[in-house]
Amino acid sequence: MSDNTCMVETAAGAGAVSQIEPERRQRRLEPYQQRLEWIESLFTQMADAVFVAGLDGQIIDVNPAACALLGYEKQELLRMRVWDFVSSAARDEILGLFSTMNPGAPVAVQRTYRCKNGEQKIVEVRQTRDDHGGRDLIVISSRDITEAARTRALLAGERRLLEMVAKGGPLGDILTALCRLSEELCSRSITSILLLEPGTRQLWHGAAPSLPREYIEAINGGVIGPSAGSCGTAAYRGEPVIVCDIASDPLWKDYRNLALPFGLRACWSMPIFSTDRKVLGTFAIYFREPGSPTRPLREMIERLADLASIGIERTRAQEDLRRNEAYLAEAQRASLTGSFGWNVSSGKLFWTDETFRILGYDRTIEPSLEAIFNRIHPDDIALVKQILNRGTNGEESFDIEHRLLMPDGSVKHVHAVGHATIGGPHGREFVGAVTEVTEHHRARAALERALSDLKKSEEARAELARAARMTTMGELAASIAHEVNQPLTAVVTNANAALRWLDRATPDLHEARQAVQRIVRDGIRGSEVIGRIRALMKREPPQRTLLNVNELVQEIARLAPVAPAEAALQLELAGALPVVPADRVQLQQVLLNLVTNALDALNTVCDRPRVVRIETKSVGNDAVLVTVRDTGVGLPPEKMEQLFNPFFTTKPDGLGMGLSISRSIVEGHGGRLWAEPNDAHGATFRFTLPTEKGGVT
Amino acid sequence: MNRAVHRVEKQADPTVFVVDDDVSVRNALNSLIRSVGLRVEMFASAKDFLGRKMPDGPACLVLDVRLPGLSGLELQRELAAANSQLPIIFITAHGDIPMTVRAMKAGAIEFLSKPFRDQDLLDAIHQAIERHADTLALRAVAADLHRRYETLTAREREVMRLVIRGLPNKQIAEALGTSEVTVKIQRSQVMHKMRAESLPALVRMSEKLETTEPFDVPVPNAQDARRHRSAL
Repeated sequence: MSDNTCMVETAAGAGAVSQIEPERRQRRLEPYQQRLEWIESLFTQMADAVFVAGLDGQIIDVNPAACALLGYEKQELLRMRVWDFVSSAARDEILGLFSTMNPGAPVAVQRTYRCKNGEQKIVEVRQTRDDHGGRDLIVISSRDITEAARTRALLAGERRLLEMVAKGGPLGDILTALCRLSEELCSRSITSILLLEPGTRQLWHGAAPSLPREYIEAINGGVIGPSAGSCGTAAYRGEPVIVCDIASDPLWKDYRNLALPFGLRACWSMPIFSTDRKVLGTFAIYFREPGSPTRPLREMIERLADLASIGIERTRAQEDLRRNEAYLAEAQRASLTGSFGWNVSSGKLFWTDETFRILGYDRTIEPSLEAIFNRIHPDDIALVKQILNRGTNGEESFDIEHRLLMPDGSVKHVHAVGHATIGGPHGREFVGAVTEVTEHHRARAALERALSDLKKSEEARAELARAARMTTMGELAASIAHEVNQPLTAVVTNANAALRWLDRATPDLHEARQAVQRIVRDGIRGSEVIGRIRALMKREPPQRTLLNVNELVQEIARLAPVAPAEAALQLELAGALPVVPADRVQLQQVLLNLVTNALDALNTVCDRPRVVRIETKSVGNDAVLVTVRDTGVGLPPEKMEQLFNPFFTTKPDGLGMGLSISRSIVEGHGGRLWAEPNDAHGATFRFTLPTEKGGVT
Repeated sequence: MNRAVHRVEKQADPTVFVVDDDVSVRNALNSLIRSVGLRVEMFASAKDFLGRKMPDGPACLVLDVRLPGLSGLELQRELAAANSQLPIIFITAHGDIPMTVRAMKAGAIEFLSKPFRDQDLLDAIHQAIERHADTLALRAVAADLHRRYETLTAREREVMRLVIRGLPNKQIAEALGTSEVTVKIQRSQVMHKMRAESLPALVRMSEKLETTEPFDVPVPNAQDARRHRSAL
């Protein structure tokens, strides 16, 4: 006897026994009564929903769990048919099933029930036909597996999505799939994912396959804030925002007129966080009726928001990686630098494109040490081998410059650096870069040459400056004139001004006095100027060293301002010239003076070769003789001696100091300076300088 | 002296600009120039001078050759390049003949060596100021003429063009395709607007218009001192 039929039978049986005397009746009924109560209790308290229905689908009895499952009152359910909470389309299927079911053979199916409030639940249904004792009923036991089904679907959906992310699909597709998953898991929901543009406060459309296009466009680019609908506020606060009724919630004050026309009444929004807790966007669900989420639903939304976070971060990371790889490749190409990886234990090598190019290999060949050594210049192979051995034996880094000999015979200079990576799982590995420095090499060599040339010419220039400063009296004279003339001019002008002030119809004594005071001041300043010039003109004490006159002549020849086209400078220098004690700077002065004079004399010559000839000769062991001869305009013999007088000059802007100073320098060294006219053209100047041994010549 | 130029407007007081890097010389010149009743402004370098906006009225420049930064001769070149009419008097402590020649060829009024006779300098200054005043007056006249010309209509200009060729009204009317009466009216408009008292006067005005630029009367403008100076 089945438990369910007992309920009906016992009631009928109880009526038949009522004729027996009451006490004995009671005693016989007791076990049945207890069992009835116990069974009724079971029926009421069991978790599974139980429906008893006729073969025509009419519901005859339900337990409290059934009411709870569907949200109907018992009285309502007793008026309904089984398919009323499944679907009208299921009517025929259900009736067919009932009429063909075998008693005692339960049929289990999975159905979707529609609750009174419209919510849908997934249930596992066990249907049994009972035809005992004149009955023919269907007993339906339903278990709510919505939760479990949803979780299964969620897991399956997650797996699909993570596969998409791993494959590196476009972010738009991933987010759209996520929305669809969400809508599958939560009926009647409309999902929208918005992305927060980094660096701005604007939310942009990510995915929303079920939202009306006009609404998407209307809210696109909205600014986040404390009262910016559900998503804008969620992004602003960094917290979920649940709005049960858009029509009345203050957060939607400025936006409800956008949403309500599209029938959107509730919006639950969850911020999507990055791993470092920055807001990436929002994950929101809309409904067309007001309402708030159950806890399971809220947890599901959080999980989906996490998935979105993974999808967004991963996709962006992949994009960044792709971009960085592209930049790196470009940078390597531009800088002629290739990277490489070298696993010392396995010998495996990794090269970037640029490394292939530098080594001159096609991308298709397998990188190997042998391939590298095939390219190394034979003279450098030993060195490179040495360095690499050090690497295998525990050196932490290497830095080496060597040459490559390419198949076409050209030579490249490369600079390779590498260092060991810290404890890799694959054994000892080196990571490094190789740069082609052929051009650098050439440039550096050229630069070094230029630098040494520059240094030499700097020294030469310094010498010339020193010599020139002492010799150019013209410059000095101009400077003196300027210095002295200024205060003189001021004095004269002030004096004249004073006179004019005094000569006025009404003399201006104040102005005149001021002018005279300035005269006094300027006069004093003038005398100070003279004093300064005197100090400048003071000769430094001569510094005597042992000089090789030939060297001196050669220096002056290099420094003298003569362009090859203007004149030829010929040198005839005696070998084994004795050294002379002399002041280098002063002698430079003398030589430069003579050479400059010779060049000046050649200035106007055009009908014969312009030559300046310098000779050196030793006069016994006692002295050195220097001759400077030119083919210039020459001088009349009577003027020869006058030449050396101070202020004698044949030049219109000359001061006439050069030769007189030169003579006094030479005589200060114990020598003589004199001049002779040439037979043909020009003049010859000679001077002697005694050696240490010799005295005055 | 009979001046062909009539001053259109009264000119402002003349100014003498002095550029010399020596402070004693500057102060002495200041006193000297003021003692003859002229306004004077001092500058220690060419750059300082170029930074100053030009006042109205005739002026001249007393300039040392040796200056820090831009030299006196370079300043002369720059002013010439900017179309300045400002007369220049050079004073210098050390002048050589080539330098003097260069400066004079480039249009200097005078080149004096320090120390100079004060009368020489003052004479040069007066000469320079007079010359500049004449230039300004000429420019003012030209500007005035151009302004008047601007007030003519296109047709009136056409009429004027033919009038100064000496054509009678009838021929002008034929050439322009209008009536003689119209031409007569337009001709009298031209004479009135140009304020020409006679046909020869109109012809002279026309010549002047062709050979001069429509300068604006100089307006002090700190931003564009150079352009302004070109109007001097």
